[in-house]
Amino acid sequence: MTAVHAACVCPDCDLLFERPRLVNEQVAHCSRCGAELCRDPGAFIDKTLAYSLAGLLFYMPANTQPILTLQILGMDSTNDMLNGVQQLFLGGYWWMSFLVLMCSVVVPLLDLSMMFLIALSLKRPGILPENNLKQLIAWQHHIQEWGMPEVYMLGILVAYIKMIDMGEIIIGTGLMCFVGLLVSVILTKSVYRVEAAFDALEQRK
Amino acid sequence: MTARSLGIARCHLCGRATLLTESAGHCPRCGSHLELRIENSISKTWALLITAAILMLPANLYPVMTVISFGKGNPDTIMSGVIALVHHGMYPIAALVFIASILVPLFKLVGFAVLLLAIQRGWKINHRQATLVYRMVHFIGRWSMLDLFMISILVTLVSLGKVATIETGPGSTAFATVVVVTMLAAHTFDQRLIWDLVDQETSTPQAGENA
Repeated sequence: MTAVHAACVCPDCDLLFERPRLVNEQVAHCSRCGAELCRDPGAFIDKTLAYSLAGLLFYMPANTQPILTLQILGMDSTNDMLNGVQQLFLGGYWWMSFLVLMCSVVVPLLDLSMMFLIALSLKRPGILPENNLKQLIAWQHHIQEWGMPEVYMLGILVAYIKMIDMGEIIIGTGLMCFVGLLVSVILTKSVYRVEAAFDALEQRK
Repeated sequence: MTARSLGIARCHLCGRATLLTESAGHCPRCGSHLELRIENSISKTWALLITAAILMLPANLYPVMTVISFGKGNPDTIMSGVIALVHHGMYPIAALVFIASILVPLFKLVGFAVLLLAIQRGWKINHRQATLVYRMVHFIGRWSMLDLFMISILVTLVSLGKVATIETGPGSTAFATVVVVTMLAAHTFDQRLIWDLVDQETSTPQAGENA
């Protein structure tokens, strides 16, 4: 059966399809359960490169500049991405501080830089040996779920509204950059697909 | 026709379809481990679900956060935090926190339990709806982290010495673990088992197939 790998299997209900011919970034959905089967990747490599690079540029200021500052009775205290983690750690809540560090700081950085490197290696063969590239694609796939900048954004919003009548709250540069980072992450994830990365790698040969 | 009935496995990483007999258990394209269904999916998911259900108790009974203002401490559990927000008239935020911290974890536990029971008992269910439940449970899982992120922001934002400080409580550790465990459960659960019920309904049921 040589035709097997030209088949397309629904990831959610296991129905077998003949791989449809798609153009212009069309997306095929399963007729039985509606899951995304496959899509025409279009210029996903270039788009992934552009969006992830934008995200990486926003990353540094988003993580070092103040997010919110609270002023009460002439005193003020500032929050950035890292001192919340530090405060939790010093308070003895190392498991929580580890989770917050991973989900809001470490994984988003790894996720973006991995997608950037994958797209770059697909565009310019020879940057990474093929086996390492495959490994990188697999790692990105495994960690990506643990990056949660969108949930963190909502957390900032809730904290802001909760504190609004305690004192004056100043929105910092970090928050602006964090919004930029969030938008870039969402855009990158909307164009990048693991399947498409492997397809591109296969076609290169 | 399902891929399994022909012995074809879809690679969980790269999506390539491969005849299981022609591969040595590994995807020829990306090298990942190949299997028709996740091994012991149901018992693994049950184990994680029960863990999460037990952890829900300390997560909801212990305080997650204490606001100390002028030396007076006021420990808040998740629910009392929501009630405090309602008393302050912040209804939208109260609803948001209530949904993210109480309804979502509950919905995840109940949703998975119903799906697992339906698969194990061979209940006649609407498969499209069951898949929708699975997708929702999978999608909303991460949003429960909202409370933890908010606490991590508040502990630094409100550290003004005697005037006001906010401290974390032990409930938050348990709550964080509930979120992680239920996210892992979404991974061990094999959503294709929902649709395997269709084949069982049309052909003779095979005993112990999904165990």
